[in-house]
Amino acid sequence: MNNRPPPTLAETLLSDRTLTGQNVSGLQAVGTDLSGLECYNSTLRDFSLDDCGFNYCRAMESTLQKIDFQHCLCNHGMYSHCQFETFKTHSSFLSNSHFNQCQFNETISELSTFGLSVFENTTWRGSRMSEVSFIGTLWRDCTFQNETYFFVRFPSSHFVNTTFINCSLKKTIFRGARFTHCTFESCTLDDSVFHNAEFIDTRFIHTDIHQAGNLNGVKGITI
Amino acid sequence: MIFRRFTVGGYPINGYLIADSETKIGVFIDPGGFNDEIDAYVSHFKIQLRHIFFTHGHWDHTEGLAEFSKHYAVQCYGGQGEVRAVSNVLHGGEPIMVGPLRFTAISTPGHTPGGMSYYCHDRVFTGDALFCGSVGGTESQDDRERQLEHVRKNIFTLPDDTLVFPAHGPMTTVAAEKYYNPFF
Repeated sequence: MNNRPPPTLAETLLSDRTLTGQNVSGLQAVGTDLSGLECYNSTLRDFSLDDCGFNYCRAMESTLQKIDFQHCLCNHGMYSHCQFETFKTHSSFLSNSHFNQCQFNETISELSTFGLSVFENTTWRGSRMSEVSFIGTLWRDCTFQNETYFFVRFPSSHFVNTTFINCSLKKTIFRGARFTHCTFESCTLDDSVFHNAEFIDTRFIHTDIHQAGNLNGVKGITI
Repeated sequence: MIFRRFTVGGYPINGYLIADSETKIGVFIDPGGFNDEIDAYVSHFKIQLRHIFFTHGHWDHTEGLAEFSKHYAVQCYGGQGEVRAVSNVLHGGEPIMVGPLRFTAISTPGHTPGGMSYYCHDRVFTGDALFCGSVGGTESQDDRERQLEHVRKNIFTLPDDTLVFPAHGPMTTVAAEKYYNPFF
């Protein structure tokens, strides 16, 4: 007679590492290393990960819903055609990752970093972020819509064909950033920083760049 | 390794708890305040908190020391002239053993004269010497140049993947700061 308890969800994920066409929900893990997880045409829902590793993960055509990362290391990820719904991050690293044709809806993020990541054809809608870093990131053909930021940092980032619509960008740091063919439409920029930022063919529609707290050294627009 | 970031103090900063997972011997870096969350975490993991490291002596980094000292028998480490309670004065380059965990003190003056960072394994704690995309304020241009020079020489020479934990704001990596921090 086998008295072994059935494997936990975390143990199953750890043994398989690859999910294809599956719906997985209700994982709560502390101190577990889920690095290398691959996820294709699948849905992950209601994950609460504390002090976990989630490095080198890949996801394609998948939905990640109500995923909560607290104090996690989630670097070097690759995500394509994925939807992130009510994604929460606190005190976590999501650096050096690549997001292609992804959608983030209603993200809540604090004291986390997406530094050195690349975003292509990716949309962020309805996020609330505070003290989040996007240092050295590259954005191509992306959209930020109805985003609310406080002290979010984009130093030395490069935005190409990217649009900000109806965003509140309070104290948002764009120091040394470069904007190529970008649009800010109906945005507020209270105390934001554009020190040494460069604008190439970038438009401000119903957006007052003079709300910024620091415009020293900007290039490409007349102040 | 047991590792946790806490928001501490009336003017909130990041305080960090690091402990060895076997011996449970640990250190708290920058005790800007003490709270129930720290107490509960230390109790839960049965951590023997024996060390306090100060990155510098500004009040927002030291205000919780009395509370920490009430709860735990701690020895204090910091740069010269920074905090009166320090019994182990550091100049940079000293190894400090926290149980089996080996920390190295790294001199990063500029924000304050005796500013210190601490390196252990794959992470470095930079206080106000280096922030994500920024640096701490200085009182003079000379101090600013000293700060940038020491960060370049002592922090940016760590491996690129080293995780950087500043006292304010989000964490970052050596590579992100070395290549994309506009102040360098």
